Amino acid sequence: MRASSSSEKSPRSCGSSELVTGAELLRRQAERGRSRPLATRLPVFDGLQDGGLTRGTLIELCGGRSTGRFAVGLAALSAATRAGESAALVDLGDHLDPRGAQEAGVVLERLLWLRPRRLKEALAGAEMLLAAGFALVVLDLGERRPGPEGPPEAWRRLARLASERGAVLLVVAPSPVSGGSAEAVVTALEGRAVWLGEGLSPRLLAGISVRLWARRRRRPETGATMSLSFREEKR
Amino acid sequence: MASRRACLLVPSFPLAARLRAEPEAGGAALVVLSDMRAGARVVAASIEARRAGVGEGLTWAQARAMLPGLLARERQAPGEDAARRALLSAAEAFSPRLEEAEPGVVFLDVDGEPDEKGLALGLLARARRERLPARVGVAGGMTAARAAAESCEEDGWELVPAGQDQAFLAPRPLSCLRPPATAARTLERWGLRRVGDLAGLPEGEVASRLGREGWLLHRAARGLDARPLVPRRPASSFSDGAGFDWPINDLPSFTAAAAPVLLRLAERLAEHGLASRRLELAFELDPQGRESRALELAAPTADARTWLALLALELERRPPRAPVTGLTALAVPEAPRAAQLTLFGPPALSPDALSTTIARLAALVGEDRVGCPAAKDTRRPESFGLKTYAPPPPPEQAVEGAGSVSNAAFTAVRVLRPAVPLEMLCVGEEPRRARSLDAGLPIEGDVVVAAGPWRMLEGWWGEDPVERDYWDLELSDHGLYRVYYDLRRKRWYADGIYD
Repeated sequence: MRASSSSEKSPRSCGSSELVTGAELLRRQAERGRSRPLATRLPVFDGLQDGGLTRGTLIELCGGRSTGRFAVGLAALSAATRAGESAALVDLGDHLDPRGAQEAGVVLERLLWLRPRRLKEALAGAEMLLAAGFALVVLDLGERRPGPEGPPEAWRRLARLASERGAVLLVVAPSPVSGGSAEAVVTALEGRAVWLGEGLSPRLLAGISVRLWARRRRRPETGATMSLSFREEKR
Repeated sequence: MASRRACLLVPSFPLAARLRAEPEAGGAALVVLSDMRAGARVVAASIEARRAGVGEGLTWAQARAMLPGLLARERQAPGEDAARRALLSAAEAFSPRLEEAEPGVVFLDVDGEPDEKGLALGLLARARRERLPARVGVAGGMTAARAAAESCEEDGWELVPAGQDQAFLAPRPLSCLRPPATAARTLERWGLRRVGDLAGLPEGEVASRLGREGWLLHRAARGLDARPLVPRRPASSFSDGAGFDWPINDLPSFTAAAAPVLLRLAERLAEHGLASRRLELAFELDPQGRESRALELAAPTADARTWLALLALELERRPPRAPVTGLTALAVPEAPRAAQLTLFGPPALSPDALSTTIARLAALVGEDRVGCPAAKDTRRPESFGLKTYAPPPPPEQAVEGAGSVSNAAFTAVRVLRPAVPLEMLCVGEEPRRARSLDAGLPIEGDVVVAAGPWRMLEGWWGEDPVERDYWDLELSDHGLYRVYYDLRRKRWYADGIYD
C-alpha cells in the first residue's frame, strides 16, 4: 500500500475563483436580482424598507389627501424604468400626467399605463401584469370616496403572484385595503404644504412635507417617522 | 455552361390542395368539383376514383353513376392559393430564381448545382413538410424537366443528363408537350405518336404547315424551350389560408379551423428566420362578402399560439358580421428580436407573453385605455397621449442607482379627469371657500393659502379656445389643489390634487 500524496489541493481551495456552468451563473444572477431591493432613490422612504421595495412582496402605501403617496409611486416607477426594468401603473383614478411623470424621471417608453374604470378591472389587470413578468406594478386606487377595498382573497392572490414572480406590487390607497397580505404598510401620517412668500407677497407652492410610518410583518414595531420634503422644480 | 432546370410538380393540384387542408380524406375515392351547382364538372380525381374510370371533365352525375360511393369536394380558392404559396416557399429554399408556370408547377434555375440528386431529394422533403405530394425532374430545359417530373411516381425524381433532353423526350407520347388541340389533331392525322417522330421532321416544313404553334412544338420536341425561365420577384409577405366546408359561426370551431393555418404560417416564417408583428386576416363570409382584421403585436413573434390567443380575443370582442367560410392570413415579415439572455442586465419581458397580455388588457378595459403614456405638446395639463406599448430591450448591464439620490422629489399632481366643477366663494377675485359638486370626490373647506392667478391661453385662433386662470389652493380639509377659473364658461374647476 502506498501512502497517497496530500500535496494536491482541492479545486475549491486553489484560489478565490471557481468554475460554474452557464446555467448556474444565470441562476445565481436571477437570485441576486430577486434579493436586490428596488430602491425608490428616496433615502428617507428606502430607509424604512431595508433599502427599498423588497422584491416578491406586496407593499401598501396609504394616507390622506396630499400626503405624497402619488409622488412616491412615481419615484418607484422612475427608479425601475431608469434601471431598465419594465414597470406598469394601474391607474384606477386616471390621475397620471405623462409630462409630470417624465419630469419625475420616469422613462415613459418602459411604462405601461392601464386606466381601468372599476376596481374589478384594476385587480384583474394587476394580476395579468404580474403574470406577464413586470418587475414593478404600482396599483393606485385613486382618491374617490368611498374607497374601494376588494375581496381579501384577491389581495392574497396578488401577493402570492408577486412572490412567485419576484415582482413588487405597490398598492397606493387612501386607507389600508390588503388586510394581512401586505409585507409592509407605509402610512403617510400628514402632509404639510411648503409655501414661498409670506403675508401679502405673492405665494408660490414649493412642495409638501410629509411624515411616514412603516410597519412590517413578523417584526416588532420598528417603524420610524421621518420627514420627506418634495420640492417643485423651479420654473 | 449548359443551363439546368428543375421542375417541382404537384399533379392534380386542386385535389392536392384539398387534401392538404383535409388529410383525413386521403385514400378515399374523391373528386374535386368546379362548384356545387347542378352540372358541376370534375376538375381533379384521386387515384381510387381514376381506377374506376372517373376523370377530369365528367359531370358529377356521370361520375356518381360510375362510382356510387364517390366523395366530392368543392374547389376552394383560399386553400389552393395557400398550397401554391407553400409550394413556392418550398422551392425558394433551393433557388432564388424560380417561375410558377401554373398552379402546382414550379421551375427552378439550378445552374451550377453540383449535387442535383440532393437537390431533388431536398425539394421532395420540403414539399412533404408542406403536405404536398410532389415529383421532381431535372434536365437542361423546362420542357424536358417537366416531362421527367411527370414520368415519376409520387415522391419520385428523375435526372436527365446534360445534353440528353432530346433523347429523353423522344420515346414519350406527344401529349407530354401539351400541344394545342388543333395542332394535336393535325399531328395525329399525320400519324405522329411520339415526340421523336415530330423532332425528326424538318423544322421549316413543320412551321410552314402548322405555323408558329407548330414551330414551337418542334423546338420543344428537340428539348429547346420556347422562352427562358422568367424568375418571379421574391415574396415580401407570407400568407396561408383555408376554406371551410360549411360556414362556421362559433368561436371554438373557428379556432380549431384557424389553428393549422396559423401554425403553417408560423413554421414558414421560422424556417426563413423571420417573425411578424402584424397579421392581416381576411374572412370569407357566408353567403358572400369579406371582412378584414389586423392583429398588431408588441414585438415580432413566430409563435402560432400567441397569434391564436390574440385572434380568439379579437373575435370575442368583435365577432364577424356573418358566418365564416374561409380564412386567409398574411404575416408581414421582419427580423425577430434576439432573445434577451443577459448575464448582468435585468430580464426582458417575453414578447409573446407581452403581446397576449396587452391584448387581454385591451379586451378588459378597452383599447384606448392601455398603452404607453406620451406627453402632448399643449398647455392643457389634462392632455395626454397613448401609444402602443413596445418597450426597448433592457440594458446589457443593470443600471445600479439610476437617477439622483435625494430627499427632494418633484411634486406630483393627480390629474382629475374630467375636471371637477366647484362652487367657489370669492371676495373680489380671491377664492375664499371651495366645495366640489361631485359627490364621489369631496372637496370642501376654507382657503388657507391661495397662490395665483396664472393665466393660460391656448388655441385662441381656433374654434375651441381655452382661457383659464389657475390657482394653487391649500384648503382647510388638508388638501392641496390646483384649480382654475374658466373665463369663457365663467365656472370654477379643480383639475389636480398635489400629492
